[in-house]
Amino acid sequence: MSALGLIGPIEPIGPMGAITSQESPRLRTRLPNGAVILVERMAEARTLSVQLFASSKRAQEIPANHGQRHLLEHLIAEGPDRNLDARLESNGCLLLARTHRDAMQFEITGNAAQLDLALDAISSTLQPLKIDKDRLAREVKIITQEVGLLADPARLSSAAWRAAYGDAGLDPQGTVAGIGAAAIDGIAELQKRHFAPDGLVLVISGPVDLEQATNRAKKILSNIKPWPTPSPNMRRTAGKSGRGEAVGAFGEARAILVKGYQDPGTVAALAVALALAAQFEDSFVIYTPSVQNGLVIVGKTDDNSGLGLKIDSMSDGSEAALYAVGKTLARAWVERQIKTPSGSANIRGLLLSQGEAQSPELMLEAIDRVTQDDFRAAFYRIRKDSAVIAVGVKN
Amino acid sequence: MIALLTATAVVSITPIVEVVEPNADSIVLQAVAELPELGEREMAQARILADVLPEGTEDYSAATIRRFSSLAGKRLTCTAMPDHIGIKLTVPRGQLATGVSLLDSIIRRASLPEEAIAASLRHVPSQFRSYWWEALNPWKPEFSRITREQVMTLYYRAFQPDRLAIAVGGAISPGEAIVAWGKRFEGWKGPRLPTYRASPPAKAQITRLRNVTTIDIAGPPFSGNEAMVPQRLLAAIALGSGKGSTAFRIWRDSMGLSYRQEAVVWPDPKGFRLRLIAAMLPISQPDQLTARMRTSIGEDIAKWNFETLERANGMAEGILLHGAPVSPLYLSSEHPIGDSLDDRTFMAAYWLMKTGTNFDARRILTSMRAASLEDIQKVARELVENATTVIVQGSM
Repeated sequence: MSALGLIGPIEPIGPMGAITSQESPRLRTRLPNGAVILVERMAEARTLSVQLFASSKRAQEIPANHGQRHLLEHLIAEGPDRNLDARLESNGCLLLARTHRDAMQFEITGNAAQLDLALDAISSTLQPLKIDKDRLAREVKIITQEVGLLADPARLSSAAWRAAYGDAGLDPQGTVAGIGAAAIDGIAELQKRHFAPDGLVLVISGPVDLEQATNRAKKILSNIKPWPTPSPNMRRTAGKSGRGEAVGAFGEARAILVKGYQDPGTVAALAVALALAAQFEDSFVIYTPSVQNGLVIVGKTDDNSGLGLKIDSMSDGSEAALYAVGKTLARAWVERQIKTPSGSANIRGLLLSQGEAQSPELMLEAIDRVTQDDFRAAFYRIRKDSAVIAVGVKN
Repeated sequence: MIALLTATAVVSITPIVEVVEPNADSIVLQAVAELPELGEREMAQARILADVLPEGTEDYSAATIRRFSSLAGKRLTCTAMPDHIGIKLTVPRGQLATGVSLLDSIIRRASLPEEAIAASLRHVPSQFRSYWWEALNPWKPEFSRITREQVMTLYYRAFQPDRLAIAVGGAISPGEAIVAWGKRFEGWKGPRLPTYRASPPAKAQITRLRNVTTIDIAGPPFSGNEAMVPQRLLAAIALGSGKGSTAFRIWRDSMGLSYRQEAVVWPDPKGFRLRLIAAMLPISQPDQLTARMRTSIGEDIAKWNFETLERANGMAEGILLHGAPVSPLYLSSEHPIGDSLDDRTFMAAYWLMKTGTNFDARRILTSMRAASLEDIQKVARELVENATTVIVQGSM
């Protein structure tokens, strides 16, 4: 039982056989086809966030199709009649789409009165794509631009993941070659696998009524036919330390190899990264909570050297002074995300797409348990002999 | 982006405005000091000044400032923009008095040590910036022969009681920040300064190392107090905010030219400028392309209709009231103004400094809703017809 929520009895509701779990102020429902709905009431919030996550369990990135999930996201976000954004924007709502390693995400933000509009938009994203060669080619061209314009932190992150995990750590942006190899049939098949109902999570967060919002959400997910076989478990093999180069990027990054987001080593690594970032102006920290092995990354892009040297020159024992501030910052990092409808729906949806028992509260509990020894161990893992190092190099 | 203003007071002649949010976990203090029109040397002085302001005051050492501001997880930041120097300090709940003391000390008694200025001159000119930040701010300062005296003079010229506005936001109760500032600024007068004469205007950079080309189509400046400001903001949104905007539909969707294209409302000493900026992989013949881009925008403006107005107003509501992350207001950094406490506090101080009035998102939205299609077409056409362009070509 989470210390932060009350878990009431789990019982089926209604004729559709859904299983519901009360976790005040949230209501979680698993439909018979495996899709999950989470509604969170934030009574004081001024905005509403509705987010759909489609797990990548059946649609992992491989070199041959690297980036086609990203392409799929672009195509779906336009809507079946390519007018989805016009409808939303005229009502002050916004659609944002993102492709992560663990899931694809569609977010609609607006005000509380627009739940139906937002759910209607989400429903559009679940329709089979109707694409032709011209539309495919156009979107490939745009993504080629996008990949070329990636910011330096993202490039450094990508290089670190490649060095640590090889093909098991392919970034979701993709490559020109992988995206360019897309074919209409392949994209259609990818959409079916990616949007199998047992990989779908719909999160609604804002000033909403739990039951009403859940019932409305059920209408758009309940009729999706279940997949004949259960989804595979997602397990990334252990990574290794090493050095990667980000061609055309500027800056450097250090990454700590970590396990799942609840692991003591992972939250300690996050605390270390945030504590270090607070010491160096204009630095960044990248971590996406996952049940799988991953990386916690800290870097700087206004300077091509210095971060690593500074980290390695810190004397043994000096990390002790960062322990308290690191834990505080790690806790604040999670709390900041669950404070707003958008942030809360984002992290909850991403974790739920990886397993029904996952939640940011578990991460907070893990942070609270981080000891000085955990912190020291994580700090030594960011030193050059143990870390993954990414550096920007000229074209 | 609604600012919950509960009180504005004028302390000496410096206005202090509160943005009360009792459930916030911190307190944000923002000071915005108006800059004169900057030439290339004054622009360099401003950048150095912003870099060195945190390096200690007569009352607090640099280490103390760093330590204290890190407690809330956010370092003290100072930013130099074309029209202002901004200082943002975040302190934990309950530490308002210390935050006020620290900010006051930076505003009036910064040390600006010689060695810090020297160090700043070594790294600021070569500091790497993102391509987007370069596109927003392509003008190159002249850093040669900058002296401490020049930096100090600019400091005293900017931080004067009648050129400054302060906002305090977050975990405070109504009136608490005004009481905390108390009579600190009473009798504050800066030193006498020589008549200001700006050096020649800075020139724009024309190339960058990254393989990204940016094209900037900028309209003439307009005052923040003119009657047509709501129409100009609405035109900006119609032109370049969101996927239904002209720039997205035409430049990205239809012409396949760019991945990122946005309308930008950029601060200018004379007020603001409306700009359209596009980022793309490097191209040959960028001048020809720019001409095509301008023509295409003009053709689309002529086709704007009721749906255009409806979408722009819808987006305006999303941006101003609900923090939709597509605002054209790039007033403080390379990121658009959003709905965070930091941004709302900044807008409260900045708008007061800029226009002498409180920032009222709802009032602006009401004026936007009253704007006619012809109004926004007119101001949008002014951008296209009277634009200056800056092309920063990436390496091929």
